[in-house]
Amino acid sequence: MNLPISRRSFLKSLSVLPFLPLLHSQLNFGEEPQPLSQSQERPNILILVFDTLSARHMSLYGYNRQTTPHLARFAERATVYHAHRASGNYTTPGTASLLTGTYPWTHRAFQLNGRVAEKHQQDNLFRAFSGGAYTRIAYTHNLLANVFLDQFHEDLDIYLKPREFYLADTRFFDPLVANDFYTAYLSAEVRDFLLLSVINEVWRTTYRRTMLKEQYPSGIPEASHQAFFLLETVIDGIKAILSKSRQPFLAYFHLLPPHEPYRPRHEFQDRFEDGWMATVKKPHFFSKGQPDERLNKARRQYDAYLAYADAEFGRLYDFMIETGLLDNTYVVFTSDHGQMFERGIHGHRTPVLYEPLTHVPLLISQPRQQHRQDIYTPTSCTDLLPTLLHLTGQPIPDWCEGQLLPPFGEPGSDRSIFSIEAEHNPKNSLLSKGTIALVKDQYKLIHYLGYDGYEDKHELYDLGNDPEEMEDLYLTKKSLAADLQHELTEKLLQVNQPYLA
Amino acid sequence: MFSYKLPGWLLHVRIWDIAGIFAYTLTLSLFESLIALSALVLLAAILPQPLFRQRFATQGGLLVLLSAGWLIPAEIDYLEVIKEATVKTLIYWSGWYLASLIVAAALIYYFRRLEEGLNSFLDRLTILLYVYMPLSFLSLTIVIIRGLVV
Repeated sequence: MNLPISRRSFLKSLSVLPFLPLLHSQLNFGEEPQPLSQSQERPNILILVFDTLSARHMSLYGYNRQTTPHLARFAERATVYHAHRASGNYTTPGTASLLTGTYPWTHRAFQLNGRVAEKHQQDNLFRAFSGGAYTRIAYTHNLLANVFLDQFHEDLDIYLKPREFYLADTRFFDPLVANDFYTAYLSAEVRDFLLLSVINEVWRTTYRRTMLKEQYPSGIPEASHQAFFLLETVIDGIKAILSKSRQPFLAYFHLLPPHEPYRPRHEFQDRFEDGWMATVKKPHFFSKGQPDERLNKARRQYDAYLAYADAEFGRLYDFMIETGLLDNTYVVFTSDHGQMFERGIHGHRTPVLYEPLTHVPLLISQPRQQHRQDIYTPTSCTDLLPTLLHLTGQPIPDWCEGQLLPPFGEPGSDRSIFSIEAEHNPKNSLLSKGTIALVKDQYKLIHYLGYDGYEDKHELYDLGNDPEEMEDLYLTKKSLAADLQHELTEKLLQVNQPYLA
Repeated sequence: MFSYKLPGWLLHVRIWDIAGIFAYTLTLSLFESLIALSALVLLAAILPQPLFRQRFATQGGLLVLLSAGWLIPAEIDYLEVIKEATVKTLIYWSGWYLASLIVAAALIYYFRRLEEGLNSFLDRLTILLYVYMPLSFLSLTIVIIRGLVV
């Protein structure tokens, strides 16, 4: 039988096939998105994490520079926590604690690129909200935080990979290794695809030098080697995602700014060339030898980058107001850890646990909240998970180490808050090398374990009267120091118990 | 880089997973090598026979060595010109790259002893293949197993 069309014509018609997915994407086969302000039985939950954000650098918390005017606007209809602490001093332990409601000695994500211990993998925020009531959405710029999103991806309904909002990414092959993403990711940390990464670098360098040089004089923000992004793009993306998602949703967005490199948009670039200098503090034993002049310069750059990030938050906040999202959503703003610009240390991966590293912001806006509330009780990042479960009428699991945040609950008045740094401690061994900070009421005890030259050292500070941690009271307030030290020792014995065999 | 990170990995990554990291790295290298070889074969097919195909091993080896010589420092950011590049500087440095290729090819073409020296060097390099190829295919096997089983 002769076909009515020639082979050449048939082949030409096949050329249309690649365009069919585009056509499909233009047709709406799904439900119409609900208005964000629609009243519903269960409220939405939106968690915004800005990486490496120290509360000590926020004008909202009394910092000398106007770094966060938009967060201050948000604060006028939110509960502001003034003594909130991260559980670690860099992304891995800090984020793991945020997502599991447990301290690092439980989740065991100590190391760079570390994961939550397998036996605790199911003890996470997204699993706690399983059951079908909530659409669980997560995205992060930060590859360390993405290790956890990947680890918990089975508990996510919408899991966006970091590259979703990168300008370019040479790790495009990760769908091929979806079953073994973590190991392939660690391999990519060793080396990238040499040919493609150089071609990508050349292309993107040309692009950013020619197209975006004026907008970003210090360069385009970068998540890691060659992973460039624009904060504006992800904020617009968040708006689009929230507008299209089925409600109620639990959305977790962990954005990189103000993590270094500090690359603000041009109008923020030299905003804080004001000559102001922070309190000079003597170098610590773990000082990296950074002189004060360099620290102050880095501080100015960080503050400028923070102001830029705050402005972008402002755009998102305006969107929340316009769409009425604030009427039916708990909006949580926080960070995973802070940043140091003192005592000879710039950064956050360090053995120390001073306030610039562990004192992070927490703001929670309840649906239809119109007035500000201030909480000065010490709180921990481990408190967020149980609090969110409580607010949405769900049971709080036993494995949670956090407590209900005030005013939603009454944490014990003699409660202790912990922060732990243990990057060089083996994951599955007892905790013997690291730094642990215990905050009780207004006092803070820091214990250094297992460091050569600084073994078994303690420092004690009165944060109420000495918020800059200038005067070590360990040798003068011996009774108090002994009590706190005893408590810390007991706690260490308790958490090390499973590893003593 | 691998040995630099290994002490940290030993604290929290299983041995089988460390083997997987090594395997992914080598597998990626294998694919890049195959891409480079494919590019050479394509060049041999496109370019006039006397120019490339007749002295495939010599010319191809020269092209790969020189290109790697330019790419590796670019990758490790030694060449700041890449990071600070504009279209003009890229054209400038591309010109140097092409010029180095032409000069090297001409030297090999006109000076027999240089060609013999290069061939001798390439012959010795092939010994590495006795280690590289089995390791690469073992790595590929590990990657496939991990993808199916893990």
